[in-house]
Amino acid sequence: MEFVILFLILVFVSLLSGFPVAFILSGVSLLFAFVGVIFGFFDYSFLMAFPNRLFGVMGNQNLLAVPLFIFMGLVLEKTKIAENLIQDMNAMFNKTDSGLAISVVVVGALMAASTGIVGASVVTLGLLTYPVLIKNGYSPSIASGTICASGTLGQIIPPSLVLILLADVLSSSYQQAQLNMGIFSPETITIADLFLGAILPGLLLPIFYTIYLKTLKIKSVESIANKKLSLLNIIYPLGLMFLVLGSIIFGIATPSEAAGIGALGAIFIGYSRNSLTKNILDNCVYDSIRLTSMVFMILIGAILFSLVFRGLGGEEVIHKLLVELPNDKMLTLIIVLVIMFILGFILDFIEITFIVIPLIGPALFTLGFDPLWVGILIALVLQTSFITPPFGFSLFYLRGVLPKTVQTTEIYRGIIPFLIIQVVLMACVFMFPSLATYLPELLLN
Amino acid sequence: MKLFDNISLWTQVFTRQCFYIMFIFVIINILLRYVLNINFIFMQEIVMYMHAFIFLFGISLCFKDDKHVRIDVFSSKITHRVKLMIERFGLIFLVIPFCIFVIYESTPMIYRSWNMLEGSSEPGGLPFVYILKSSIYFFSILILLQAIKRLIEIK
Repeated sequence: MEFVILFLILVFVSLLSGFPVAFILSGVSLLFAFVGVIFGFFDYSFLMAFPNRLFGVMGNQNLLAVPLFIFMGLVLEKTKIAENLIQDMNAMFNKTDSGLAISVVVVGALMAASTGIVGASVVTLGLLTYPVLIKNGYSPSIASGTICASGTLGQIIPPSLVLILLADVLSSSYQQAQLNMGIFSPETITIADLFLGAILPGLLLPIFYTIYLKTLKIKSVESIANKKLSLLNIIYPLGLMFLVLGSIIFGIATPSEAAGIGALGAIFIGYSRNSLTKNILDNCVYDSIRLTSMVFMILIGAILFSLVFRGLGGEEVIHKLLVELPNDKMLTLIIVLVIMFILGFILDFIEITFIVIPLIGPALFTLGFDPLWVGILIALVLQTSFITPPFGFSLFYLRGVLPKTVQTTEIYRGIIPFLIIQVVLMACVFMFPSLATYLPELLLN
Repeated sequence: MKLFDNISLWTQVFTRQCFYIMFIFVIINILLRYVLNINFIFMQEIVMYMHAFIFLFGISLCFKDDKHVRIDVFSSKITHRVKLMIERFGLIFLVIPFCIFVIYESTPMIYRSWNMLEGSSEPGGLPFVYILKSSIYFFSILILLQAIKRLIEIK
């Protein structure tokens, strides 16, 4: 017990040193295990499972979708479709109340297909729309709040990388929980389940954002030249989203195939607008390789971490904390979610998914929670965490691209209404699980 | 140094080819299934092999370009000297032992696989599981080389 706590503290402190997360996870776990072997509180045989686990990752069908998904997002980004979309949307919404800000929300939601990693879309939206919003009489706080919240929407709106990784980790935790309970033909949870479950919450968020912005009634100062609207700019990203989502949900293609179709679509869009050369394509491939490797190295580090954690008796500790001690299981879930929320300040969703969920998932699902519902809640909690001052990732990214004259406190003030909306939606999903589970049950069973 | 650069260049070319092959085979698989209604296990396994090669070899590239995520909440506040110490310590005590551990611990698995020239567990699959498993060696050796390179370079 003491060793588990010591181990967790050590890993946590090392993470803050700024050395790459993946190698902290693998290296510190190994060092701790070796010390444990020498002093006799760790059994080396736990580490011998590592090669097989690594080989399991190499053959994992869910994770096969990761590189192509990232590739699709990068190609879309390089085709400048977001830029064109923003101009079109601005022109379209400009005349209505708060129209410009609403167009930012719409673009943020539409670009979900191209957002894998937190930050990319916040930066794009920030660079392109902040000057326009300010010029039209929006206060810096409202402008930055809108951009930050909209840019983070891609996390929860399918098809997103967060949900793919989450689905894989949740399903193995869920299966393990069932095996522990003596169910030997365990049910599973798929990427399609999670995508479908995220649709309603993912639609409600931008709708709530829009309602809030509408109540502000901000009139644009200048009229934006109504250049020829190109419907293609809207059809392309929307079409791609439906193509990818649809083929997964209706079982036409596996997630990796759907990602392949999506990537092909993105390349087609790029060529049709002459914004994609062989050189750019090569760069996209190289960036995808690096990003994919980064994700997998964290996963590999997390495998070692969890092996050592298990070898130190961590599973029993977690089981005791989550299953035996508390007598209210809803309270347990809330505490777990709050812990994830706080971890979201320092860790990216990839780390949280790979490190935390395998530790607490099996115990949590032993309590009988629906993994799909918990998964959507986790996705919402993490997304909220990314826009929570003062540590939220998205706020940092936005801070980086805004002019120096903008006070950080202004950004914080602007995000608060959106945070309240997030909390309200989380509370809704918490109280009415069918918001997450209705669509999957309807379409998949 | 030239040698290190060449190795990462080869890795880059190799993973990029793997990526294109994977992409093309994913598309071909869909076409074959829906147009001709046939399904080849070995072609799906090619995708799986390429994917494994991409991330196993790519990790060293990501390492070379320093793209692995760091938590920089505090690191912006520490001096260059302390950062350098952390970096050296991390490379010597975290990264290098990890690579050696992976090589050491995966050897029995890879040896067994070569010994029986292990093939796919699926009927009609590729008979090259021993090559797939051997790529774990390359994974750790490539990271090891990059770690040594950085250890020499950082000042």
